[in-house]
Amino acid sequence: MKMKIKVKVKHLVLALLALGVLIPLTGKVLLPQWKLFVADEQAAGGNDGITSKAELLEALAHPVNDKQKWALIRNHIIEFGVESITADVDVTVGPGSTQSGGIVSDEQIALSWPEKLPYLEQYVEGGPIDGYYTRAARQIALYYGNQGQPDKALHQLELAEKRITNVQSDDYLLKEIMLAQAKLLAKQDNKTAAMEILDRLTKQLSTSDTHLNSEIVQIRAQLLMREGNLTEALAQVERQMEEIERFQEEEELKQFPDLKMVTTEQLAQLRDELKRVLKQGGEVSVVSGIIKRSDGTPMPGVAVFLRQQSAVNHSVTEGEPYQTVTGTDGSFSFHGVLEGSYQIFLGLKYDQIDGYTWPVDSNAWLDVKGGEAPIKQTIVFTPLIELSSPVNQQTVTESYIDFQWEQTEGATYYSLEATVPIKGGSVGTTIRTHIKDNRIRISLDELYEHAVGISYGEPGDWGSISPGSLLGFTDTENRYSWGVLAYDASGRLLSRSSGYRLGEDTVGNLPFFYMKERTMTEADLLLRGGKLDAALASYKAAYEQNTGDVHSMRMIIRMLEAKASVMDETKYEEEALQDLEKLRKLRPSANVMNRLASYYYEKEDWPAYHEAVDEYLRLSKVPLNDYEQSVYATALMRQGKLKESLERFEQALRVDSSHRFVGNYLAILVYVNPSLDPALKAANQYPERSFGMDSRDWSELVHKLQEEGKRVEASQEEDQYGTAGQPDVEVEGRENGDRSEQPARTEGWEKETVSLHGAYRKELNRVLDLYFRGEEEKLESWISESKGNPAMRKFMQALLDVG
Amino acid sequence: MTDKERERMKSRLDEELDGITFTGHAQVRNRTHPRTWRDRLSAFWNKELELPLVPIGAAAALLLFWGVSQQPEDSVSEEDLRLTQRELIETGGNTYWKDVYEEAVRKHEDENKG
Repeated sequence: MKMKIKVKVKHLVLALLALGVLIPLTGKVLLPQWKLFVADEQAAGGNDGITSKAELLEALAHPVNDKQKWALIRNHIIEFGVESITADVDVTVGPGSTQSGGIVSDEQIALSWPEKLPYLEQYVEGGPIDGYYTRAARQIALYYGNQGQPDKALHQLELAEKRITNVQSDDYLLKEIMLAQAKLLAKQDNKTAAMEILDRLTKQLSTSDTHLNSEIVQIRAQLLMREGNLTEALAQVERQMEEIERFQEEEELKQFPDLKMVTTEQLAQLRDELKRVLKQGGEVSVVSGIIKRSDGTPMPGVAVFLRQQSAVNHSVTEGEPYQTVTGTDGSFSFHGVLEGSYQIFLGLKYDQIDGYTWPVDSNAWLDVKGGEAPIKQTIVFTPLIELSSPVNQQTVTESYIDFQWEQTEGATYYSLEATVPIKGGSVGTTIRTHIKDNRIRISLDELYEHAVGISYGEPGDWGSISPGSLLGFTDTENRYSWGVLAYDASGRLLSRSSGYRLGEDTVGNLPFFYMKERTMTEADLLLRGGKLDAALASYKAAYEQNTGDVHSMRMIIRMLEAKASVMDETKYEEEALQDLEKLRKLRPSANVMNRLASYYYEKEDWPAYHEAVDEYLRLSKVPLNDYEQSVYATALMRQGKLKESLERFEQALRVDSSHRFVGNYLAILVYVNPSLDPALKAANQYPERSFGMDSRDWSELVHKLQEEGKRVEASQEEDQYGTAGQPDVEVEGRENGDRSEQPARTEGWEKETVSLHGAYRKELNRVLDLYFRGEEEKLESWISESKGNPAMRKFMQALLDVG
Repeated sequence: MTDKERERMKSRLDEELDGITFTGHAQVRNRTHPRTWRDRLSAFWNKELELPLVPIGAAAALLLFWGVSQQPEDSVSEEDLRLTQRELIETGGNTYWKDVYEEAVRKHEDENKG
């Protein structure tokens, strides 16, 4: 039966018409309305169901009403936007450190600035006035400021100020906007306008606005510092600190006794810095520079942070005083920089660093000296070096690897690094330095011999050592990786192969390879399985059976050394030393000699030490590195060979930019020269860059030593002759201004050179002798028991810490 | 039925219909033989169509399908996924986007096997 429906024309037409109206109505009005309703409901819970960029842009382009529009802008744009330079970076790169920035929320939908700017501007023009409102204005201001359009930035802030004043008189929001204006103007070096706003702001503030007040004072202080008026800057900071303290005592401490505001700490830091610099003469300087790629393209929009020595140990914070963003020509500058040691850190976006690296030495310091010519820095980003072989998880089965990579322009030598993957990470090590060509053949035996740093869980628990870190390059299942660094003739880093490889065009060859040349022994497998004791026994058994088994002997030594360091027991070290001597006969190598040298250094067995070092130099393809040079110099010092030691230290200090051993050098200079001036000069020339909490200021230590010696010997002479004895004075130009603790020193004093030759000198040289001879216990008891001469005791204590 | 009975029924019917007068001649004529455009329209308007169910149903289904396929994609596009949920990983000294890295490793593993 054929199925048919009977329908009158009029009903058919009406039905079609109804459909024609209903469908568009549903699509264009009802559904969005429904969505909006749902969105409104969800917005209350912070979730509007928008998960994609397309959805968001669509919703923003066709909002149902203003309420929905502001909610969308608030939840998706302002919420994830930033108001400070510090927060506006993906990666922070500093000397020796790289940090991937910011936490990316799962809910965040990344809009580009051209996409979000119009909505933010709409918000500032008509959005509801609340905390989000000021954030919107400040976000746009930051954007325009970084784009080199401060006028537009200022315009937005002024617009916001007007609207806040008109719509509602929320004091705090208004103050926030005014503060942002002042900051922007200060950055523009528009002191008059900035001060005008700050004055206006100050009038509106009460003492309870401690946070804002502190920020205002910091801006004022910075403006004053740029003019070089440090005295007034310090006065303002101190006044504000007193204000805060008074307020805290009165109000907050009653409720929150532990409360200590971040701004207070920043102010305190600024105060201390100002005080320190004022003591040294109170001058400021300019640090400027340019950031570009190696082909000359300038890099605009890079955040630049000039960071004080005390700050480089932690990540960049918002309150740090010197921060800026490079302009369209890649240039940046800081004015009013206080005297001191600084490091430059850069904040980059992923697309800025992708495929490139900033080759910077981990000890790159800027020593800003007040009143000197401005410091100019050229920062050049170079392309990452492309690796050619072995790459892409290639398997090596020969007894050597031909490493090969792309040549770097201007490079005189390269160094080759490799990493061993271990559970939860990897351990890296330098395989070879001073490689002249862009290729090198390394025997697998050299890699097998190369021990890497051990990784372990708990000190004392030797079972917690990661087997991977013990097996090193000998595990045939492991996927190893490698990389190179390129240097110029003066040892300056030019580029490297590892870095951010984010784009499909920058990923390049993967630096991974396998080594399947050898066969894992029974002991190796035990070790891989984490059975350390069984593995060690098995290695020992294998060696007993075959005294030519180099691998087992190496593994025995490696495991004993690891055991000694994790369990902190020297008996294993003794055992390792004996085995090293066996290995020296079995298969001598630079590596073995290096280990032996360090053992004999520790034991202060100088003939054995020198023999090992000489043998090392004969076998090694590379010279002693800066650390080994310094150790060598220290060894000479301990043997009383002071003149030779001085020469060695001088060589080492020139290449070791951390100046970690400068204390020993100074000790010898103090000992051999009648005057302390050569030591003082060296202390200024080679400041120690310690990353620990107690960084040693050698120039201050030596200066105080000199002051104390002068005072003590003068008073002794007075006692002796009954008159004011004149110290032995030689007139000599001083090249370096010292860091005097006394601001009111005279011109004449600066030119004096005082020789110490009395009882103070005798005592000083006696304790230095103790130090040179390594009689640490005697020295320690002298430090704790003797009375008087605090500067001498401090100096000796600092020396003991050098070790 | 006798003639007598027929006659009686007729007279009864006449009696019952006595009060009813038919005046719709014109309308009936207009419907059967429309003259004015209005009449024609009305005739068309009320015309009954017999539609075969299967072809109509098929057409409607097609239309519905087309309509649905024209709706904007609700699901997250690939680019959006990359923008919102990409993860960085550090390996072999480099930092990669996890998806790009895994793809490269997969590619090389296949190459090394083949």
